[in-house]
Amino acid sequence: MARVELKNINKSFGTTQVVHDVNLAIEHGEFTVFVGPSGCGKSTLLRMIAGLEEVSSGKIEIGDADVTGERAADRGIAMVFQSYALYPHMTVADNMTFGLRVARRPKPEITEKLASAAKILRLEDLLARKPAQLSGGQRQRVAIGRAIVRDPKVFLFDEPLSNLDAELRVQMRVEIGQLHKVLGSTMIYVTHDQVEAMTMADRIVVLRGGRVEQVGKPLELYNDPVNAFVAGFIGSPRMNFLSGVVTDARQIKVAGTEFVAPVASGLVRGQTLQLGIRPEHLAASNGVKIEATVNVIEALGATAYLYTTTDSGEKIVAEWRGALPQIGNRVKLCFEPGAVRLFAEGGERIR
Amino acid sequence: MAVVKSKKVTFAAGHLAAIFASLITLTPVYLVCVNALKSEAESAAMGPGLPSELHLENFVIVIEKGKLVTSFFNSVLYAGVSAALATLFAALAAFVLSRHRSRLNRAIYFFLIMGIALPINFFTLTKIMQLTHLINTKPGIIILYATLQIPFAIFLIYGFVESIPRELDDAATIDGCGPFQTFFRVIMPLLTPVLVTTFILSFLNTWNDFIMPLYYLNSSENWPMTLAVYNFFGQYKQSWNLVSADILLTIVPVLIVYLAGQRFILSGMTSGAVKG
Ligand SMILES: Nc1ncnc2c1ncn2[C@@H]1O[C@H](COP(=O)(O)OP(=O)(O)O)[C@@H](O)[C@H]1O
Ligand SMILES: [Mg+2]
Repeated sequence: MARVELKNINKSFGTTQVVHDVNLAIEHGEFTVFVGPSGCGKSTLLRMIAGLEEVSSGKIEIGDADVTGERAADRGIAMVFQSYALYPHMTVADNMTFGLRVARRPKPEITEKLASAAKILRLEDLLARKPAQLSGGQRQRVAIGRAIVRDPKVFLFDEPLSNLDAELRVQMRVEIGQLHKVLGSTMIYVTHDQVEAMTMADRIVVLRGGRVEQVGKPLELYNDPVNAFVAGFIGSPRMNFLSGVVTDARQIKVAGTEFVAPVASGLVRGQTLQLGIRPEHLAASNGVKIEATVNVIEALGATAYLYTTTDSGEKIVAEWRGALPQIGNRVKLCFEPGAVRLFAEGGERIR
Repeated sequence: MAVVKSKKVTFAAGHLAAIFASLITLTPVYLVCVNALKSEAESAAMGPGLPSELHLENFVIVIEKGKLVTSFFNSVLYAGVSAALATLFAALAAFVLSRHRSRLNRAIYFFLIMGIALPINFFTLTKIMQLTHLINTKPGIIILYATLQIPFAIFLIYGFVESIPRELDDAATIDGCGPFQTFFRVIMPLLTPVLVTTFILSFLNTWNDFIMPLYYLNSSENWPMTLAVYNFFGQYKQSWNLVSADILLTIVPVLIVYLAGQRFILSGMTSGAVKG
């Protein structure tokens, strides 16, 4: 069993606090993705779990053992780095077995573990090469191989695909997903790319400014974000945010139209708020209509995205099905009131 | 056209300067070469003329009378061991100072590399050599030489350490290495080019030094090759032919080391130190 539990984790570098009171429980065998904009503390959090960075306060448990003060090598973790961090002067085989050799494991065990990891990752033919003689994708597989050989309870990945080109990235995404199924280990994966998060994660942890904003399954975050930040961060193209004003108990005026908001409690008349609507929800055939002028058309084949401006000057991206308009045309964008997410001026969700 | 012309002019001027500089450095070498082959009387003036007859036996005399074999091994010992020590300790220090750039470590780094520029105070140095009982001993001169080379060695290696990604240290930590294992098994192999450079430069500096043994080694048994010249150059008698032969024999090992290591010296100096 290898749960990972973070309790009241804080981290400061000098006087700057970069991680604020993080509490998190990651279940055994779960593929968890930490996602957030660059500089939000994802790597720092991961490095604290790895034991590469000390916590300023708080407790880290791996597999029900308190590892807060433990050496990295004794935590039962393995880590895959963004730059692969392969030892350039060692062959692939030596890279993968380095940890076992440092720990003075018996030869037969080393040979066996190397062989099995090499087989899983199809690295058998590359074992005698040096990292410089490998392609980016092969290097990343060796880095993963080095992790597998350690037989860890928890795999940690820090943006492992961001140095690869787009095509290879998709392919490695699938490979890592399959690896997770085969090994069944707990994996924590850091990325700033929400598409990676959405496609790979069992559970996503959205971070901002060193704080956990929301934890949940990909579709939970997508459909039910707790605030405007999560709503805007998850989903591509981004959710549109329009400013609205409450004209009556549940009546909201936005971009020249009014509609009845799907909220449980009443709103305060005159209150301003943000109205979030995803591009694909603007392709409805009927519902509330917003008029806008088309600026740019992105035709992707199956669908198209219109980049438009409303009369009040707000930008809206909308998915579009059917016959494409001309640039400069006025179009009617329709949405169901139920598809709208409302946020207070501070960003908190209004339900 | 004008550009081409001015380029040609600079090129020619550069050549002239190079030829001039070569002449300056080659003149003493030429003088030593010709005089090493002359008789004592003919060499008294250290003139540029060619020897009237070849006195190759000068070299044999020098080797025997000057105890050059002993002093050759002394030189190898001093230069080799001190260069190895300086390179090792400088590498360890540069690794720590470059990886942990705290305010204190920056101060230590600048304090250490100040040693490149500041002159040695022989009065205090002598006091310390006496106090530590290192004066007139082989270990003493080795430690002294190692210490003298360390500032420049740290300066050379420091910039190189930065070019090794820190994630390698992290990977080694996760693989179970402590700081020393990380250094010896991961960092040091990657520093090889600059370590070879440092070793060679430090070896050559020590080999060529004349001052330290003059002050801190009184027994001629312990003299390195550079001091052996005193056997032929005294208050009452100067055998310039033997002095020249001795100098030539002292230069030969240096030339061999330099030519063998030239490749490393250039690559090591340009790729790392510039960045540092
Ligand atoms: N060693 C360090 N010293 C000082 N500040 C650091 C250090 N490492 C990271 N930080 C700061 O902590 C914040 C979070 O960094 P990081 O965890 O690397 O972000 P992310 O991985 O999400 O991009 C950043 O503002 C960064 O500048
Ligand atoms: Mg990061």
